[in-house]
Amino acid sequence: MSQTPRSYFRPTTDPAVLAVQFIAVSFAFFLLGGALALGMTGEASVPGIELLGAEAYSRAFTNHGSIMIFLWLMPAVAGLTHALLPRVLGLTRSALPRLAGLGFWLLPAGGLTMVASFFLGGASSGWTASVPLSTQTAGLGQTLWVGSLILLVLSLGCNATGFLATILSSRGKETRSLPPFAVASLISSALALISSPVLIAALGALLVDRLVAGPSFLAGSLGLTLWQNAFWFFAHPAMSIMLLPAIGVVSEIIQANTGRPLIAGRSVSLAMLTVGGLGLVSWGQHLFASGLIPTVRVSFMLTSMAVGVPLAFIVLAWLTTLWVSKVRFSTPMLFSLGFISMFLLAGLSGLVLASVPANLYLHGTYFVSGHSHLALFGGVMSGLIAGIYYVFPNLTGKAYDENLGKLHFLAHVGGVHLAFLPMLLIGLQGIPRRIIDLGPGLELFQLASSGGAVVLASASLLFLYNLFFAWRSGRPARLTESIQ
Amino acid sequence: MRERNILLVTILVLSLIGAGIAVASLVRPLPQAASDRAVLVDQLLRVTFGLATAVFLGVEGLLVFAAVRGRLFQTSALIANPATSLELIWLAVPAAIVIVLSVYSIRVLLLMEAPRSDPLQVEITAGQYQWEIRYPDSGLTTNELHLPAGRPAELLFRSRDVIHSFWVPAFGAKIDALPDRVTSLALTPLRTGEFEAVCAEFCGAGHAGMIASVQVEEPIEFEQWLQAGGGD
Repeated sequence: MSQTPRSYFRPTTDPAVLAVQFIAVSFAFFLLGGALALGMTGEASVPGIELLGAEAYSRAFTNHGSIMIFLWLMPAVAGLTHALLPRVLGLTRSALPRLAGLGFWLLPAGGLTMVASFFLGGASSGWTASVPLSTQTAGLGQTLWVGSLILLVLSLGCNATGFLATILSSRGKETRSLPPFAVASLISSALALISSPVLIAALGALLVDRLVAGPSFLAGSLGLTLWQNAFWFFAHPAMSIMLLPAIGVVSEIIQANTGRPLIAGRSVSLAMLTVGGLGLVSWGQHLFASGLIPTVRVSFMLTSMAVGVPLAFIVLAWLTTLWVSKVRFSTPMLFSLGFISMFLLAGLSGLVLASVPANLYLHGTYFVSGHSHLALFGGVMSGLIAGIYYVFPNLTGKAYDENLGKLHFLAHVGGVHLAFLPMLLIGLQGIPRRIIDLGPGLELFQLASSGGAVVLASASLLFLYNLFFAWRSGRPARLTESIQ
Repeated sequence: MRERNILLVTILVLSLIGAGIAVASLVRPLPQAASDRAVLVDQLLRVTFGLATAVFLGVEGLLVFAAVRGRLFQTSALIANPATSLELIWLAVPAAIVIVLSVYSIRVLLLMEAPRSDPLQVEITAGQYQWEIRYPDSGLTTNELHLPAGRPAELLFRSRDVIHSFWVPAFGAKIDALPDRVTSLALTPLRTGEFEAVCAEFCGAGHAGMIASVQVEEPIEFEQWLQAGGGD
């Protein structure tokens, strides 16, 4: 590596430097979002209202959600893509390099705006910013927060455009099929480009509604459900935008650690395409309780449930590949196995939520929080960590400590289960999400969940410690370590 | 060898189905089910959890075994590439599960939303941070929802400010209260008791405290309560 430390603080077009920039900045925000989560779970663990007031609590969960999605997972996935995409395509440069650089610098701009908004009153209407609550919440904080989201969604759009251009322009004379990570990245980027303009338009309307008194776009004649539809048209595929690259990287790691190409690889690519397509037409799943026309509800239910079929197909293709191989249990491989296991829990709880009658009971409860955290932490985060361990030796030329990596794996898996499975049970007991006090009878579940959050936080600190010291003073990576 | 494998697979699949049935008959997702809707949701969730248990145990077992199999056995046991007919099975099994669950969900939905004869109409207006309950037939306005057991009720919702969501967990279903249109929820309370209505859509700093008492009474008691103008 010829990079000096200072080159990481400068605008660049080098994908390897961009990868480090994205991952470092996104994980700094992860620590911030995690601190908010620990504050909230601490508050919920003590009976009554002790740590935070109701106002501070709603500010905490609003910013926790928006930080974890827009400032941690999405940019971290972009960083992983900058590291892995050129490698699987056999390139050293990516297409539209200046756009990629812009995509990165929008990240600290949006992030700092969001942090500033937190101290200037703060957004407090949930990361879903339901209208008219989000138009009525007073204060500069909520307005700045909307502005920061616009910057961050623009960043996502820049990244997606760059990845799409890189993949499409890489296909020259050779006719071999695209590697799984490139397919996943292609579909994820296309989803981002289709859905993000809708959210930017809706956020723009929200901003105008907040800044200009008088006729308003969202709370006025266009109808209240316009915001909900526009928001979920982005936020439902957002799960696939983050999940598909995780699926892609797990596929690559399975290939590397079994020493054979994925079985039914072409069908797996088709399955990923189906996941993306269905993700685009399932947003109404979040509006079942909002008085949708009954037949429309059923059609959204069918597309939401159907996405289980291609996802199950991908898992079965992975299992068969493992079945016929001698598996090498490197740290990235362990996290990939963890991804499959925890992603299964997310998928099954998602199947419950897709059913209209079950959803009318569980919508807006802790069950939904449990499901989304299993999907984002058990699923996307596990795939992301697997991918970061996987590209680390290549990216830095250094080897991380395998034993610490395996300890991290155990703590991560234990933490995710302990933190988020109790949320499913709390929701089933009839407790809505986003309330500051759970009431009596659920102390044990909440305590387990808080304990899990602490374990998960410690595991993540161990991960950052391992990588930081390996990079600074680790031994050089052997060639075999760069391909496992 | 081949017959032994078929026997083994059959035993494993049967025990997964057994585990699913055990879970479906043991769990009580809605222990307080107090309306016709809640009973239906309770059944649906039990079947779904049973199915999910079987799938979860099956896939986790397969995952662990597939991962260590190559290390337990000699590589001669590892086959080249499986036949493409296997891909059809990978599609058919999840598709069957999804279809069964979809059809069952639609059936439950139709039963839930079937029109009920002679419902008691109640108008509920949500506002930060309380529920205002009005009985249009008698003109009574109160903050407690009283319903007679056994008689269908049609609850009509409106909000005076932001979006709220009316949820009595014991009744099984929730519905949003919107400022720009009326939504409705039809149900028949099945047994008497005192329950709670909460707000399930974040509506501001007082969201957690937006709770109303719900009393399901014998029809006679309900009529007396209504006559007395909502007093206790």
